[in-house]
Amino acid sequence: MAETGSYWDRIVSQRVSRRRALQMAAIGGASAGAIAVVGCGGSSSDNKTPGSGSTPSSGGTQGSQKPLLGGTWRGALNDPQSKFDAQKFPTFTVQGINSFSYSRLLRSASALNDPTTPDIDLKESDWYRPVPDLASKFENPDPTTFIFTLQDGAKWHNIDPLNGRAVTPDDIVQSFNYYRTARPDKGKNLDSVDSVTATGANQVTFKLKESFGPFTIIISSPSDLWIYAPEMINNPDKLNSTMIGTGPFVMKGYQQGVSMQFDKNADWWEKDAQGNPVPYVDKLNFPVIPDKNNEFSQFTAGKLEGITLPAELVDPLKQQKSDAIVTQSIANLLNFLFFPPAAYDSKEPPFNDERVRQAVSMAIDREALIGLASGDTGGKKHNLINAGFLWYLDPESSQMGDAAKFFKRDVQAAKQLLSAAGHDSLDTKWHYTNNAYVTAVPYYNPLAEAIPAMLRDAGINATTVTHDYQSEWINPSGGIFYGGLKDGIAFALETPVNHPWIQFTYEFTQGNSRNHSHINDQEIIDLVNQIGKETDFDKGRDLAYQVQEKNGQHMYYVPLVGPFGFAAQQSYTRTWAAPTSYGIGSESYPYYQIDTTKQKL
Amino acid sequence: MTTYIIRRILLMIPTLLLVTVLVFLIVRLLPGDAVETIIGQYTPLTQGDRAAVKHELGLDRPWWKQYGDFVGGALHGDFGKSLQSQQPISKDLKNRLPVSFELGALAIIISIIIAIPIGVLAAIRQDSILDQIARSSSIAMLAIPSFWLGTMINVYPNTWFNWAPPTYVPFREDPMGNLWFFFIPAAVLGVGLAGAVMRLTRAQMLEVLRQDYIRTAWAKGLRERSVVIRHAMKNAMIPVLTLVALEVPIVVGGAIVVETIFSVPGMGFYLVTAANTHDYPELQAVTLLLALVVVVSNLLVDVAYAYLDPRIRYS
Repeated sequence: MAETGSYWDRIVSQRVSRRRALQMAAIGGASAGAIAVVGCGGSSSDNKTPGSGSTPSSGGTQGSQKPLLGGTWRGALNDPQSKFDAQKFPTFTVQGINSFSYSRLLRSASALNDPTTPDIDLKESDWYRPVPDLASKFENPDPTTFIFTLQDGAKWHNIDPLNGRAVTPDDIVQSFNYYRTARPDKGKNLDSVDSVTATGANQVTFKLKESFGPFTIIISSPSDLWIYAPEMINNPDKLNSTMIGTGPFVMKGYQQGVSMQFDKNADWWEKDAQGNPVPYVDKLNFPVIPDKNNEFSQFTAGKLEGITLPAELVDPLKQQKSDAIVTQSIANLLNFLFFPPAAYDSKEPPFNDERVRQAVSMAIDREALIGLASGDTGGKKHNLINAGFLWYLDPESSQMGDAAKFFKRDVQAAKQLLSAAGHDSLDTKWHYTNNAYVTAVPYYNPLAEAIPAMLRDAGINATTVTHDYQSEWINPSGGIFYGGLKDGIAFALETPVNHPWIQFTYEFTQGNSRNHSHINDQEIIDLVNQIGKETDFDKGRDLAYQVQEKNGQHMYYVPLVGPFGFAAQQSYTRTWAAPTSYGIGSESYPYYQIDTTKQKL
Repeated sequence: MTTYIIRRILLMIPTLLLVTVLVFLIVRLLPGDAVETIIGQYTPLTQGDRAAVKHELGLDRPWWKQYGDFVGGALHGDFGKSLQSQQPISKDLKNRLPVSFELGALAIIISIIIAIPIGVLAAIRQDSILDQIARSSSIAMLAIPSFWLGTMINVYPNTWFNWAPPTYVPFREDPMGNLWFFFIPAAVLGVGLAGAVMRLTRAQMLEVLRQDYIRTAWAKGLRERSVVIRHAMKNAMIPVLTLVALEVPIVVGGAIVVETIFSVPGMGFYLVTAANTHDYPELQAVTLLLALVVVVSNLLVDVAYAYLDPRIRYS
């Protein structure tokens, strides 16, 4: 994989020069296709603790070049957006859309960029670094107290019933109460919060029950606390049918299944490094275009400024529109194998024996899977934290210790492990869902079809059993994904969350529906609990590395690979901020620029 | 005639009632859980959390109560609220029905414009080259699926000329832009329908042209145009009219794929989204409306028959 080597060589040199990773181009950014290209990064040595106190602005122009102002950025919605209440309906599409018009107290950092190139220069230490959003700063006087100061002059959009009134600390208190009551999971990620109170004209204080390391990252996550006005909270129909917030874009038009339009919020508080107000563009327009061919045609005809791109369309695009800027990043989806809960609940063979699980991992040719998944455009081996996340540990790095060898294909060693576990060969089953990801994750089915042949080389004869996604895979009552695997090996996809504490809590704590195999390893649980309490970023990351190393050693979950995702934008655009989460509306779109003299309307 | 119409209308009631039962049951037999698609799979929920969501959505009520609400509401034109958007479904239908009707009407008009002149010409010039071409074309039109033709129109003009189909604009905002937007998906649908209409037109014209009264018309010395248009076509068109009317529901149903390919915000696209998200009330509403279209178009065909052909007596 020579191409991937050169790309990742750049990453390990501590600075990711990314060619528009997560612009996610189209607002498809908020769709499955978009989420697939969220996140890109790797291990580095210069990470810093996401600090308390005032944090700098997250993006904007650098140098003396003037930003391009005005114009309408046109993207595409791949799904007809039908709801807007991200607390009641916490799906990533709703959360992504919320980021255009609503604010969080903090948000995730975007990248500063060299304005002379379309590339994005993003320090890895910036990934998921909380930066100001509706709160201009926060203080952390003791481990259980966080005092947020709201932006001076922050106002709600000038639309009835808010009519541009000032934001108050009570709005934050009410939003948190709504988060706790409206969320289907009752806001479990912020269970550690004991109280939220208005403590000044412009301040709100969060008191925690105990020290909680991921607090600011969860506060900045688009998955959790959005700030809604009480007038909207008390009018559920309005809250779910429109957006009136404090964010960078004011929702001006919406017809379900047709299009969505925004105007820039001229009252937004953010300014770029030169003091220019953002957003730079005047308007956003997102027609709903569900068909990928149609979206591609609209882009090449110059009717869209940006799109996400399946790998198979990269070459056709370069041939048809050679001046288009094509960017790549690692797909932000974790794929892995897991084993039946009975292997851990009742020590049922054969997968109770870690040598068998290690043999499964060693039978897999991950390089070949990357080629298959990406059409030879490249990718990366996952660890339990998927490639592209700040806490990701390269599974072949020295920090993986002895476990690194389990991520390399070695058929003979796999056979020896099987033999040592008492199996000359192993007859088992291979489970996957074949009707869920055909469009959204087109490489899933090809991988699912290829892996059994690799296992067979090592003497693991896995008979394929396919499953309906809704009724057999994610059915909460006995679905395979939720602890219902009775035998064999299952191949799953999972969208990672934005902090390893959350992800490991899902995957390793007893009783959690995402603990797919009912794994019960006290050593790992202790590490996860330590991550939760650790407020020092570097130490927390080291603990996350340890969990990945332990998982690699025991192969509770067998991580696989992630191919690159692609996006394209017109040559006359500049997108100078790469978001690190799918809160793209406030992390990236405010910095999009268009040379309107070259735009074809 | 009046008695016949009243009897047919009364017969529609049990038919539609049966449809409501089938629709209600079938959408609930779809594999999967509406809660998962509505809440998202990214928030691990306990069984208790799920039960609470189900309760809030009203999905834990007894089936007969849910059915009663569905039928009672439908009788008043109220299809309830979407599970997804929590907005009244009738509001969505108000936006989407005109779009689908516009697409369907244009598709049928295009199919008639293509099929009837060619079908008539093929009949009056039987076995000529024109007839051979028309018959081959009609087979091709029947054989080519609309999704394939739609995809080709999306891909090749774009590859060759960097051209892309227009995107939707409401009629009241830009009438010409709206018609231009609908022209391509309507043509794709219309071409598919034209094949069958063309073949039937040709066959009916051939049959009628051999009738004694047509021979009499020729014998009277009437011009060909008069014989064909005034005497032959009127009778030949009755079965064609039936076929065209029966195509109305096919257009609405067949438009599902075309609406998705060309981003037409109509009923078909709405139905696909509802099915993907297990939005039972939306599915019930759309399917019931489609059934209503079928029943009503059948009724209209029968009434039109009785009106156009005095030989037909229903009493």
